[in-house]
Amino acid sequence: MTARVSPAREATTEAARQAAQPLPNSNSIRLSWREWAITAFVFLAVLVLLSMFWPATGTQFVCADYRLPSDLSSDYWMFRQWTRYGLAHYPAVILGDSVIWGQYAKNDDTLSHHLNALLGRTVFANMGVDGLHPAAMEGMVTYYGGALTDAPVLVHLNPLWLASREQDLQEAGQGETRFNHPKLVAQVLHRPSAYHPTATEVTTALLERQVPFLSWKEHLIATYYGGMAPTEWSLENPYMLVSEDRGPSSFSAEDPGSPPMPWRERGIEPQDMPWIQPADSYQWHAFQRTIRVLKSGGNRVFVLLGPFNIHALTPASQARYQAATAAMAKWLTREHIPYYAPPVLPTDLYGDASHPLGEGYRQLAEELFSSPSFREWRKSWAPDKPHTGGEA
Amino acid sequence: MLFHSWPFAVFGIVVYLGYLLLSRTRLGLLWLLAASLFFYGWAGPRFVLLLLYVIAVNFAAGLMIERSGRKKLWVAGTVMATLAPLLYYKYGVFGVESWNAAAARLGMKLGLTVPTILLPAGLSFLTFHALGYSIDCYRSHLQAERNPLRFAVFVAFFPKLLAGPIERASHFLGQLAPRPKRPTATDLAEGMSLFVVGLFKKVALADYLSLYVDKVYSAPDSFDGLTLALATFAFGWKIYFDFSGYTDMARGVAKALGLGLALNFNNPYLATGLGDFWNRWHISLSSWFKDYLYIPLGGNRKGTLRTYCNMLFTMVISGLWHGAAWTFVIWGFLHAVGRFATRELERTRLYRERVPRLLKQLWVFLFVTFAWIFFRAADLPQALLIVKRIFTTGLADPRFPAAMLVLCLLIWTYQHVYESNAKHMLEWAPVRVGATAYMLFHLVMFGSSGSQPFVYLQF
Repeated sequence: MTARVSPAREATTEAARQAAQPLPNSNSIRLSWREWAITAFVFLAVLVLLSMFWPATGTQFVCADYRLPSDLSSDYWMFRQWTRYGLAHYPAVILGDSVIWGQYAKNDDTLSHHLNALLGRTVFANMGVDGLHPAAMEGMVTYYGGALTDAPVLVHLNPLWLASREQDLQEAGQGETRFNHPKLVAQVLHRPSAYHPTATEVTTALLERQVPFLSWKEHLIATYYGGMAPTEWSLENPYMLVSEDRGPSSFSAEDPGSPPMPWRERGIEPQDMPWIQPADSYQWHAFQRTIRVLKSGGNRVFVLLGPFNIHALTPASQARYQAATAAMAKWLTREHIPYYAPPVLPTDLYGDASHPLGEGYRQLAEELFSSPSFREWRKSWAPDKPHTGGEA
Repeated sequence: MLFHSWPFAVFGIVVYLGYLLLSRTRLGLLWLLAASLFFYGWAGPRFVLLLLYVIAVNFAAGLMIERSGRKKLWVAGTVMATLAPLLYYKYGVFGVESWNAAAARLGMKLGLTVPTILLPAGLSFLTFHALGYSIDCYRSHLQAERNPLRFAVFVAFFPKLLAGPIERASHFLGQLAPRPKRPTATDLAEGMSLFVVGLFKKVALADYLSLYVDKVYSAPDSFDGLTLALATFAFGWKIYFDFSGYTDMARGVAKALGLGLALNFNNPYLATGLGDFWNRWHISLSSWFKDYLYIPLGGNRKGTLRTYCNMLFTMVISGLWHGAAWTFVIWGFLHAVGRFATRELERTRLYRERVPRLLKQLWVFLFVTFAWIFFRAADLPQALLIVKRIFTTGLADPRFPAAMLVLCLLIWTYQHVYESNAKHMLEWAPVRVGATAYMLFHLVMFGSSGSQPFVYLQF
């Protein structure tokens, strides 16, 4: 601009002067730097204190054979609380998906229960989480499993996660086969091919892992708002601020997730699962990383490989399955990781392709209990005195 | 790229840090322009060419208007060349559909194929930015800008590019000349204050209210009169929070960069007349129409009848600016009628001195809310259905969330106090700090990570 037209010059000079002034406003919310610092302090203090001292652990963990309710399987804050409580009251934990959780079993008919029964005391805490495939387990252990440090951990590997490209997260599934726990899988490096998150989803997942308040918020949403955003929940419950009959204690984990009946009775026919060989498997590599994370955290790790329901496979599929599990066992041996690959259970003791029924868990516990590798592993950390914690 | 999204958070930080480094150099303006073009091209890179076209036409026009003896010819050509993309993209489909409907009604077989046209975001806004400049040059209110970079930043400056405020060149270009000032820590603190208020309005209030509004307006024949009325009230607040929230965020981002944008909303639901409402609602657009349409038409200088004709024409055009549909035309018409009424009422001593202020505010709010039905409805039959059902159906439990009602009442009370003698209470530091901390907490606690687009981005 030149000074040729003086009104314009005056206007621009006035505009520049105005720019240096506080803007006109329609409210009084205008903070100085000092006030912003105080605001940030107040805000952060509220977030930290709330998520630290929120009494959401309640009393539900204290019951025998506690397991995280399947409705809260995406409540990672609750998982963290459970590992903290569990490691303070149980000498060891069993980590895995719904096979460990006990999809077709009551909470007193699961693997952890039957192992504890054989041991004559409460030793193993059931830390199975519905849908926790190996890639999700890696995230769970890394970001929410801090309390597991130095603990003996029996890790279950459900081979089902290598059964197909969809299960192996190499291809996106449809509808119900859409994979579980996307917030737990790698968001940037090592991201599964089947996962195509938005930038917002990636950022949210990364922040939730690092900021305990955010996972606590998800816990509140899961326990008090039925898993819905509070705003959407208020549309259905217009005259309430929170659900009156909710809270962590209102979720029961005693009953099975599905009715216990043999797989044949469900109308399941033997399937020709293609099976991904471990060298090409995303889930297997994630499982290997999980083991490394646990070992680097001082954990004494034991791997339970299977038992998969090979009765539900065609002969050709059985052969591919055997090749895959043999390769896994080879790696575990090479890495000196104690493991046990139990023989297949009788066909009627499975509820589907991978989940045993209650009696199947009892037999599996006996198999495991009598296996030399398990006994040796247990001796490496078993306390001399009987442990009585965890009982109701 | 929405202001309340993670990509914008990253973009904003990068642009701010880069601008801090470059603002004292000649590269400062270039950085702002590059950031603005990137911002505009985020959703659809091809529309950047359209933006550059509008910039080029009006930059050249400013110089030609100033130098040429045929100013009128140049400004007319510029107006047509600038409006042409807007007419095509925004009104092309509406024009063809209206033509087809008229032809069908008259029994003529002259129907045209309805084209599929994607409206570039913010086209109405950037068109008005640029046009205002060229007309100001024509009127010699402004000297033509010689620096193309500075002019490009004026038109394309990203915080205001998509939904305003519609800045006047005399206000904004002055801040860029000879070189924009370096942003200060005070600018950042003030910008953050504005941004947080805007974010709260959008995410905590507008998006929340829209849940109820969308549910009811998606099936109006399923709801009773009371529910439809409450949904319309909710929409009135939703669109206010949505648009003023956007403006607050835009002003906040600009202020953090050391640049001031005009106030666009000034508690419009406290207006005591329709004229007052339009002095408080979308101020930059209503003043644009006033300066570049209403006054050139003669304003109020040519008698009462002509004044009302001018007012009617301006409001109908304003309605059409918001959207190419007959519902917007009716919305504009209703506001024109409301303005006539309040203008006449305000001339009477009884109304001015005897009617309580709160009563005036209430009736203006009710009138504006009624007009929103035509703004929000999908089409004219739906709008008429809603009006009919509001007045003829029952009072079934509307299931309006109590939390929603409490939030709206709190904001309304805050605004009343802010415009009262008790304003000093709100300026007390603990109140400001407490309110800001609460807004942040509310956003983190109840804000959804899923972003809903701003209503005004479609205009």
